[in-house]
Amino acid sequence: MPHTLIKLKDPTLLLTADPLPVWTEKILNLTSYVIVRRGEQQDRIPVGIRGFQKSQRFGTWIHPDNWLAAVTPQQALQYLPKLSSTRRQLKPFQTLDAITPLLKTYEWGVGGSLAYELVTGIEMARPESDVDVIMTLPKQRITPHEAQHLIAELRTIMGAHADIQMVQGQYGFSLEEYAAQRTAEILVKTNEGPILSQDPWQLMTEMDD
Amino acid sequence: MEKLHFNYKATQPIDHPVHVGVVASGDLEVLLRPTDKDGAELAIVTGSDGFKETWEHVLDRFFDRYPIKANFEINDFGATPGVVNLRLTQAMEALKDEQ
Repeated sequence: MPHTLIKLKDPTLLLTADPLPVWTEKILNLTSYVIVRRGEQQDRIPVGIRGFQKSQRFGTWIHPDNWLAAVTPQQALQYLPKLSSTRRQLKPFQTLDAITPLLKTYEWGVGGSLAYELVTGIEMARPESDVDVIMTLPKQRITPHEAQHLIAELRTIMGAHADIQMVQGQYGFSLEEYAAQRTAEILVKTNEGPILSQDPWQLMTEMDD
Repeated sequence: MEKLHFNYKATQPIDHPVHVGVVASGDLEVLLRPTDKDGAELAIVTGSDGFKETWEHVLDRFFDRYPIKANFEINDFGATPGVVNLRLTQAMEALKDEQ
């Protein structure tokens, strides 16, 4: 599923026509973890390699057998106690600790640079890094009003924007957009590209996973 | 972070502001404001550097179809061209709905 970190069996076996940027080699020498991207997964799994710079992102594919371990956003949280006390004092990790009690009734995890650092041990998070919350769509619908309340609570801890992505399989939408109700339709990211939906909750609840 | 500026010839003025999208990874927000200028002005702030040509490509196609005369403010957080396109389309829907 998207946002899951997977450890490659053989990091040199990437299915790509484009030449690999030089920085990817450096990072793959440090870790063999890559991040699953959205997209069709029939014969190959779309993955992304991330570097230390924000502009260093490279999309490629792997053979469905070329992996040893997978860590979901939810499982990435279990690595928090292993983080050194110095790194744990970094602002985004503090934020992550602070929002945990608010989200205890939900199935959620963390993505982005925080998940990457937690799992690989590579110091990827920065003081200004975003906390990307990945939440499994709850069976019980959260009304836009309830979502507004949760977003407001999270904002007091996370700052101006609370980036909560509601996911089901490969589908995902922003809880902030759902709560704001500024437009009749909400953007839903899918394996076949983004779509607009009047009721993403309904759409994703009806999905077979 | 990179700041990009574009100007396009445009003929269709708007009379109220529109705001679509969100500040979130892999997404963007698009703000349209009425303008007194002759054409469309775009100010894009993007977290992903080095995609000027990709933006140009997406915007050329957009203004071919919708010559919207407005001030565009776009804050991009690593959205794919597909997401950019759909957010721009959504802004057009929002304009239509409210007019």
